[in-house]
Amino acid sequence: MGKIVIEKKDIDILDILRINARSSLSDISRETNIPLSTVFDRVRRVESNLIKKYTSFIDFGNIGVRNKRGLIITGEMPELKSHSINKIMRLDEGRLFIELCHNSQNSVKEFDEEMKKSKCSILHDFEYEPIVEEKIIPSTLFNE
Amino acid sequence: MGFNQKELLIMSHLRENSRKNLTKISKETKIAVSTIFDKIKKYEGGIIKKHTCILDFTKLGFDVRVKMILKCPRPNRDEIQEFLVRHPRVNSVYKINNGYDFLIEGIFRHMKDLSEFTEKLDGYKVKDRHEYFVLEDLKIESFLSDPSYIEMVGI
Repeated sequence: MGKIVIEKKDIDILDILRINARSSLSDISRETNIPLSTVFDRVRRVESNLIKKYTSFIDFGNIGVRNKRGLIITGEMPELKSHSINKIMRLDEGRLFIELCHNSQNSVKEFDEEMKKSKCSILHDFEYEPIVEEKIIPSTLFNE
Repeated sequence: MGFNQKELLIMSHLRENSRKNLTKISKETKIAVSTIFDKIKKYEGGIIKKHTCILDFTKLGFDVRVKMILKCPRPNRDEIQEFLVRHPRVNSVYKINNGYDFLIEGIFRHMKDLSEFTEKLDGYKVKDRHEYFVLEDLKIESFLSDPSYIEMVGI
């Protein structure tokens, strides 16, 4: 996997985008003392190389999602079309982790029916709520 | 409190790309910029927990990414939670059911870095631990992130 040369400026910018992705280029320039034109270039650089996605974390309780649901499955990868899927990760030894946000009994039923049609086995099926999510600020990784 | 259709649509644009500017969201939703601005301001710090970016930790030099499910002795649970929440290699911590206590995601430079973490964890007398190495993200923060779907069917 290719690694790029990361400089302190990139980490400073990443820190700010991690804490508030809606920070303007001027905000970033002011907080980091990096000239605006450099910030513009560096943000594009980190977006291409270090950021997988910008997203907002919403309290899904407001739309009827009581808890998230996680499954660890093995076997043939099912074809999953359910709109309640939030994450899918490929794990080692042919396993998959699937995170779901069910906001109704229908959503649970729809997903469980999709799973029944597949040939996979469920190793774990649990509900969970976040204590803390995506907490790591990049600069803390290098303060050792 | 639930969202109305306009609010859901705005949320879905932020879920899709939290850095999208107000003008673009307005153009795509036909909602006035001022309304979008007000809605976002209203919900930030509450229902909108944060606007963030999902990082590629391997590109930052952290090649080992692990999901762990832990079963802990009841008297140590709070102490273990504190340890996990504070640990610099732990990215996310969740409280789970079904016979287990915590689901965590950690990132480590290499296997030795991971062993040092699990050794410290074993010091808390964790009853059971399952480790799974994350090889690839196939879908990232997908729920409520498709504005065209929200427009069609709501939620």
